[in-house]
Amino acid sequence: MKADLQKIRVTGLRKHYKLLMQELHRAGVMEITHNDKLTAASAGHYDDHYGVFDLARIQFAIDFLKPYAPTKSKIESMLSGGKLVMSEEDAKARLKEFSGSSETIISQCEELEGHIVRLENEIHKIPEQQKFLDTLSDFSAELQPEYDTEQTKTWVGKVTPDQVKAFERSLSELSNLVDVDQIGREKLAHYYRVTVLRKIESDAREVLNEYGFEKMDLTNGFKDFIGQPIHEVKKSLARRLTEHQADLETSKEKVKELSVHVEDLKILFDFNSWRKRKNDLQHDIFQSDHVFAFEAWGVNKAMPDLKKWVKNAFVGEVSIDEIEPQEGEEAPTYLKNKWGVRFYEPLVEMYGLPKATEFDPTPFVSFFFFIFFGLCLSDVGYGAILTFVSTYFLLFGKFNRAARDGLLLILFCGISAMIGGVILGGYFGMTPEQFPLLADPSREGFFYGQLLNPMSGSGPILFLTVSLALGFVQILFGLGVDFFQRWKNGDIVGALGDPASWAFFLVSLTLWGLADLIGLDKKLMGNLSIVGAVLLMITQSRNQKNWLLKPIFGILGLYNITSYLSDLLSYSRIMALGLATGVVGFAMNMTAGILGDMMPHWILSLIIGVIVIIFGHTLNFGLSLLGAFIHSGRLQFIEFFGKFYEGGGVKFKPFKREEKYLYLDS
Amino acid sequence: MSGIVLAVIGAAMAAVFGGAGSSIGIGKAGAKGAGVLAEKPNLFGKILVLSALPGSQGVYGLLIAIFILFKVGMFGGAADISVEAGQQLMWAGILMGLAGLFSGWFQGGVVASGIGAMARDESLTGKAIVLAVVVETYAIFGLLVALLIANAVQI
Repeated sequence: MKADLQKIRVTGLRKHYKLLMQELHRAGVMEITHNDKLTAASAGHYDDHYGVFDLARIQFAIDFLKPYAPTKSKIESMLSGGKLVMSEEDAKARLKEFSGSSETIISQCEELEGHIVRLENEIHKIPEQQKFLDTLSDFSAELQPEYDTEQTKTWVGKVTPDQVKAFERSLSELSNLVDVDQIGREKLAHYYRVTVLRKIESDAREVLNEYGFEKMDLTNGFKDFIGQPIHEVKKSLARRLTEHQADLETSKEKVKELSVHVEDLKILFDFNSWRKRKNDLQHDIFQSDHVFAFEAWGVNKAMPDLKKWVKNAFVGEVSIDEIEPQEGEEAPTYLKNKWGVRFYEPLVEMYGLPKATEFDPTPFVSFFFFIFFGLCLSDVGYGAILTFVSTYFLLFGKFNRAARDGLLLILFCGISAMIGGVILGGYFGMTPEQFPLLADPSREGFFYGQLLNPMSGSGPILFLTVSLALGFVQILFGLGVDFFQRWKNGDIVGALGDPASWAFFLVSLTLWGLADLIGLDKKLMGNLSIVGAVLLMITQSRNQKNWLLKPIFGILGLYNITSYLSDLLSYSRIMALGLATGVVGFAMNMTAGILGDMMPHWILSLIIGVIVIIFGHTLNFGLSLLGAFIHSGRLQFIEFFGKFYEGGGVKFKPFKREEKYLYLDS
Repeated sequence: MSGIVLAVIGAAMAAVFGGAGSSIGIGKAGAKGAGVLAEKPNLFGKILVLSALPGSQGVYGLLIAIFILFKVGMFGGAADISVEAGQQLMWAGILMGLAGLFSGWFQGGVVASGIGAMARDESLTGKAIVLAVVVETYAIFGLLVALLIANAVQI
């Protein structure tokens, strides 16, 4: 069901603004909308009512401190959905206590982060520098940017090893006034210092270029050490490294100390994000010196209570009036279903919410999904696991409503899988001989309550028939919804012409096919089918103005029967998936048995058997669960929704509190 | 060849080609997913679900393989079956194998693109799944026909 929404306008004296917003934020029954005409005159009245802290900075501090904070046990954090559980009073008290020091703590975090990054960079860089200096083992001079004198020119640089010999020879051939020193080497380069007299500088330069001599400035990266000999530089670097490492340790200690504030920061974040939300809202609200006004979508049902509260609190100085929506404005969609149906809303939302003219398909989806899922997973054991896990979290966990609904959906899936398992005799893939406790003594190969055995005899065909029959029911149901939806929206010709005619034709055709089986008059049914076909030929060509073309379009319309046929066949997946769970589970049990028998000792057999069974069933459970969920969903989305539903409505997003880190216990 | 050998060939074909289709499909999807993961590690859960989609073809192949082996009584005193029956079972296996191979293969392509779309807009996840499942339909039809054949064979 969709909850009715009403467009409203709220006007009042500005002094009441803050209190009203607080109440609306708490109640969460209004989505405030933007109206340019209204807010245009409001410029200049945007205030920071609440002194909002920079959220990005809080977020940064939380992310920075989190890895250092003591962690809760996995189960514990799962039970709280990873959120901080506390009462609202406690949260407010802690916020009050913390807000004085929050600025200092956050800026400390920022400083420490910068410091740690710098230190880590240095610590990373120093070994590389040391390695470089180690290669210059034969260089005894001090580090200088250049070693030229008035009479001589000196280059420092490297050549590749394969050039070394020719390089040295060419230089020595140049003149005997050339001094070539190899000062170090590594795998891919030999380092040289070449000194020549100024007068042959240009000749030498040519030789250097010829052999790809790459000039270097030794002080590059060592600016702090100019004028020091290399062995001194190495010592300073080693000293620096230990200092940095010690500094890093103490800095991390400091971070660890600060990390006790992670929870305080989380509280700060949530409270400030609420404030920010309220502040941001002012862009949608008209404000003058004395009054304010805004428009909103309000939940119809909640309005009387809200109006009463407003009347008491503001004695007529704030008023809520119903207005007409702006032209072309469509109401957002707010799904509000009963317990049980509600859990399936996320499925519908995944496809797309109903538009203003459409019915909410959730109640139908919940019914069919429950059945399909149960037949697809169809194992009492797997269903029991789902039921147990979801019940455990529901009983002992603290979750917000959306998360609880999600768990309840899993619980429902578990229950339906257990029912499906009983019907199809699925107990962790065991056969009645392997699990005699629940085996029905009066029927061989059956468990108690088992309706069909999908593995043998006529079982598979029966299962297939049931799947297709369910599909037939859902398709007809979809046509029915389409009929009522069109009727309600005034498209009576369409309602009679499409869904009603198709339903008549499909039913009569099916009855004709089954007439002998269920004892109906075959001839009558055949005639009814012909009537249906003619009816469809008339209705399907109703939009074609040209009388000559009408029969052609009628026949083309009738051709749509193929799409119904393929829709129907698609439901065979229920049988395929239901069978897959049982057969693969059976195969896993058997593999465990065979491998166990091969072991020389019974203890080994037991261990191997248990390992194979756990591994195999985990795999089967995972894949079957995924398949059951996705394919049951697909049958809704494609085969069922295709008949009547388009989706594309916009979600109703009320102005309300949304917690990122907190779970406030009331 | 005796009937039982033909039936075992069919079972092997179903398992091998079904598994190959799933491997190719999951391989394509997983490779794309791993790339997206580097950018958006928080999408891991959704990527995992999407990449697992082409996994069902392997399961269907396995299902038919087991069904055939079960049918010919491989799990306890293999019965001697006729060559005709063996051939029928072999074709059931081959048809499942090929349906699984191609469906898994191309489903992998759809999933890979779906993961790419999801990386840009997370709200597209559901639609990406639906598109991928459409490809799977044909593996399911293959499974259906294979089951019907294998079930109808008279031993």
